[in-house]
Amino acid sequence: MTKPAMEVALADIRKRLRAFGISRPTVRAIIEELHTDLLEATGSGASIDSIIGPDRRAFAARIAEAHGRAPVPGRIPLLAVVSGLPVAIVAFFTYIVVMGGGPVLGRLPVVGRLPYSHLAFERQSTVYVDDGVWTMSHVDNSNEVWLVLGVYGLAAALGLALATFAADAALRLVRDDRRVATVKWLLVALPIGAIVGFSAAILFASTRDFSTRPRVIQVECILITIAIIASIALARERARRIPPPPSLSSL
Amino acid sequence: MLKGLIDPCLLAVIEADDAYGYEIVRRLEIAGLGDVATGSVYPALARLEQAGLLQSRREESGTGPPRKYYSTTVLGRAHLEAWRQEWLRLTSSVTRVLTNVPPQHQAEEQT
Repeated sequence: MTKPAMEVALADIRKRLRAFGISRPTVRAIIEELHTDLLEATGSGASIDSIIGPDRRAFAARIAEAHGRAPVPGRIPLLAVVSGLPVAIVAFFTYIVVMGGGPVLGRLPVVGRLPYSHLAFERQSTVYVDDGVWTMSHVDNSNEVWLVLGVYGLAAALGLALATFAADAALRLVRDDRRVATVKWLLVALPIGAIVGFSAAILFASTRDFSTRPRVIQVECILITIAIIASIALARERARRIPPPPSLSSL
Repeated sequence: MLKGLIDPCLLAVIEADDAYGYEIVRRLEIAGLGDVATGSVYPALARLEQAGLLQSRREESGTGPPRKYYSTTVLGRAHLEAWRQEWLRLTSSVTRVLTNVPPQHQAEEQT
């Protein structure tokens, strides 16, 4: 086995270990150890396969398991899309409905025929753009505050249900080994992420006098998106942890 | 070889004298366990270290980069002793079964 072949093998193992969620310093230490030992092994005529086996993926997977990580990829982009999208859609429509969405949605040809298009929790609400600034009429929904909060709550529950359902379907499609654990953790992490994200957005808005300028709205959306994706990543990270194997307790 | 036996074998090999990964592989090969060593030693070393049965240190090799040497911990030696007792009891029982033909089977063979 030539030296470049060893480098290729080590690079492959490094990439796989990172994909399995092993931290960068740990991967570096593992690769350093393998590098030193493989140098000696190949120098004395042994093959790389005789040390790490013919299946590098299986080798990396066993090391990942030894470090308490299920040998499955992170899949954060996939999860962010499939679970973030339903949350965003539900949140958007809820916002439109609660903020006087009846008239707005009523203009749409199909939605206008649906009963909920007549929901409007404020009187004579209008949304218009003037010189790039979104302006809204005064929100007069003091009588329906609990109804508005109820719609928001219902939307949050619907968004969470759709998000976890979509994540479950996507992970089932790619035959992910940690599907069930991921969905369970999403049910915990997503609401926390949403609360943190919206709190951050409200806090930011308060520093801008709750301005509806596009730039302010954009920052609020970015804050919420970051919190949601972070919560998805956290859920996946927790789902990929596994307990030590039982082989330590008995023959 | 049964998968679970790699752990006690590694602990036994390292208990005799501290060693680095490739050295452990060679010791197993000399002991006739070369097939077991292929691809299994490094994951098992990591598992035993994570479980606190082994500890490691960096040591200059003199001929190249520093090596990672493994040694057994108190917990590791306790586990190894328990495994030894279990193994001796198990092999003793299995040997008895394999070498002593049951009386009923003897009678059948005679007829």
